[in-house]
Amino acid sequence: MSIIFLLAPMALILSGLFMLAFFWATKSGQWDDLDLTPRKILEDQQPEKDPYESAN
Amino acid sequence: MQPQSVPLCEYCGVAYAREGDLFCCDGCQTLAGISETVAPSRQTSPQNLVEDRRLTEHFGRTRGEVVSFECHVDALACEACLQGLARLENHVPGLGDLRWDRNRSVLSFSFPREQEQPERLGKILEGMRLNPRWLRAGEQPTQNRDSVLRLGLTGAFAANVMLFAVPTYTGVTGTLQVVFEWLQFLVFLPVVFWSAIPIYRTAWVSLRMRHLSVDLPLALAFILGSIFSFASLFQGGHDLYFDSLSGFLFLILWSRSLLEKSLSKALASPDLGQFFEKPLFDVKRNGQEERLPWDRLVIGDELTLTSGDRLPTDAILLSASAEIETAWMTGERTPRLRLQGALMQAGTRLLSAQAQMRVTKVASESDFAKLLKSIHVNGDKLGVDLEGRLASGLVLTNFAVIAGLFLLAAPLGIDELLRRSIALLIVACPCAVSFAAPLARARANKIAFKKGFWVRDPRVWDRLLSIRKIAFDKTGTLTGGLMRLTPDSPLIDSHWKRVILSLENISRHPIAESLRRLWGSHELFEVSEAQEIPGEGVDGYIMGIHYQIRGGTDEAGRIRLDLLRDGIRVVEMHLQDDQQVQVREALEILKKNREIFLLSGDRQPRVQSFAKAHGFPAQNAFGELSPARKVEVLKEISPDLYIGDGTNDLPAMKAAPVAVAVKAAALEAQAAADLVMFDGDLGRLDEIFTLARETRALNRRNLIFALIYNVLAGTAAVAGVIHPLAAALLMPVSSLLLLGSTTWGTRLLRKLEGRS
Repeated sequence: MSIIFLLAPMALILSGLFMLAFFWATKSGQWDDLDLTPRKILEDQQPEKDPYESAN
Repeated sequence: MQPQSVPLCEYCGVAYAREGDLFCCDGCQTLAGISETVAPSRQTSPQNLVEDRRLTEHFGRTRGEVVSFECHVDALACEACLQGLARLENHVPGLGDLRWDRNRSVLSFSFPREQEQPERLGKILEGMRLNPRWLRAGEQPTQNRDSVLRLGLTGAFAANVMLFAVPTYTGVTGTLQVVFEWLQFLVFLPVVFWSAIPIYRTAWVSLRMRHLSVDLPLALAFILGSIFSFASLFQGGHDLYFDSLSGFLFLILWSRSLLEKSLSKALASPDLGQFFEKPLFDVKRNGQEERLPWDRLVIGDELTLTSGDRLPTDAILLSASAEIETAWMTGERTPRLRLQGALMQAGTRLLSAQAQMRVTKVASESDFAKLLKSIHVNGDKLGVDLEGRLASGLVLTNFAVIAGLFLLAAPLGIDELLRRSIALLIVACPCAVSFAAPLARARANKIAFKKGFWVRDPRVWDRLLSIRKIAFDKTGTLTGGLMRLTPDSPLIDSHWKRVILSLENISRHPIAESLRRLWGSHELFEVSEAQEIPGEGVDGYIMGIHYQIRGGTDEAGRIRLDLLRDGIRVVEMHLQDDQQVQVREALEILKKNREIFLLSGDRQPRVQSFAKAHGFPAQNAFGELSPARKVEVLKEISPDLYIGDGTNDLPAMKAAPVAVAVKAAALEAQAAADLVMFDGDLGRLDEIFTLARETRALNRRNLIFALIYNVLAGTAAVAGVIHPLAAALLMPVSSLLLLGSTTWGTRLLRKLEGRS
């Protein structure tokens, strides 16, 4: 039963690591736009010229 | 529910004012202040100017002559604040294009260049305690990230608490039990002190506003449960609710995020892209063929559309002719013929097999885009309604039951009483009631929008249920479609037809349209110096000869057109309104079970003959009415619904219980209307009545379900049958059931869309 005293802190540390990873992912904007991100690879690397700027 | 002595907010009149104050929140107080005091001639101090310049430099996005800004704001305290924000344009000089993105909680607006006053607007927002954070171009607000983080981490905490609770449920005793209980406590701490903050905050705001929000019992249950568990743990007891409370909080946050997603989807602004079903357009640019999305088209691109496509930009027609439909801009569903060189507006749908056009304005600059933007700003009006009051009532009932429980069942002991109270507060929380109805209504709005109706006031859904008398304006609303030549009109030589069509090709007037429809495709002459003179006609030179087309009315009140060659009349023709079949059919549908009235400024004999032809009872047709007289007649007949289109209908529209503006009516008429109908087909109004009935049926079903659930679950909790953990699971399940019911219910409603 004493193995619990090893497993419980390990569980806490492991879940803490996952939470840190989740924290990092959220703060760096990984979940900001789940709809459009997959489409971004289809776009040109060059930033599009703003139509307003070309018009003015 | 609330004490009657508490006064209503002076500004919004919806929420209750704070004690010793006239307003419910800082937002209302600030807005009320600026409505009274701000004059456009505001004194600008050097400090203001410096701050304006700083904000513009850092956060302004200059586009041509306009500088736009975005700022992220805190949640609005009441819906009136939102409506108040929409009216800020009247108070801050130059402020325009005000938009509220509910999903991102971002307010965007613009000022003309060199007249920027972001500092002034910022001050107002600060006054409303909205804590504005200015966003740089492309910068994303962080609120969404915060809520994702809160949901994810709360889920992780809850899972860990439950993990450590399993051994205690499966019979572990002694030191190990104490260890697991303290582990639960450890992981529960961030839940109570961080995850639950949004619930505490809204509960606190609701207390301050003396409004019984659904978060109040939740916060109370959470705080009570936590204190009870902490006390038990510190005293060596084993009555812990860490698992129930953390699981419950996670499920609440999760079901709310689902609901909010559905709601924001239903409320999402009509984005330009959603109208251009075609993902890529065939374009010829600098001689090269390309396939590009609608927002990448630039001036000069040659575009090929096929039947059914919607034109994404303003363009000029290159093909010899094209048949189109422009219901979104003009309200006319009738197919129209355009000849080579005609200007076509974005939003136009092509009916011919194929047509080539050259882009003259990019999509975001078109009138179509501007129209959609204006809808977005005003589309966010939401009112306080039945379900809000019902939810408050249920909260109050729960508190009353708990008070009764403590009084009557005191012998059960404080532990048992607290356990039952927590279970009741959790299980009978009327969250679902307060979410389901706005969701159903938002979806109904969206369906209506897709069908060509813009619901300006969501309260109109209830009023639409009792429409028995409908009054119509005649000119523009029921007539004003295609014209045809009268039988006594002289025959016209094909050469003159070509001349007239060539001259009229620049015009979008219904008469020009009717002539194109009547005479079909002709080879056109080249017209130089062509110009349309509003209210008079068209001028131009063909092969050096000056031609004019002049309109007027003949003795019989019909439209008369003259073609003048160098000032001498060469052709005379008479036209009259085509008696639109669709209007007659629409009226047939609408007058079933309803009484219809015809109000017009037109001459009495014409109104009577029109009434006879369209099935209006003779005594219900009123002619020769001035706008003021219209209002008097309206008062006499007291219709439930008035349908009009022009500025002359404004007084009548303001006087009617439900006002509908049709056919892309004048802007002022749109502002006065409860419903704006972009589509000219009046028959669709009947579908809106059906939509209103179906929405009510759905709401009723949801409310009955919620009430039955609350009574049953509440009784079980009071009787001590439901453990707080089971309550924590049941409550979000009921919310999700209602969400499903609403989605399923409105799917049935969507069938209406296919019935056009």
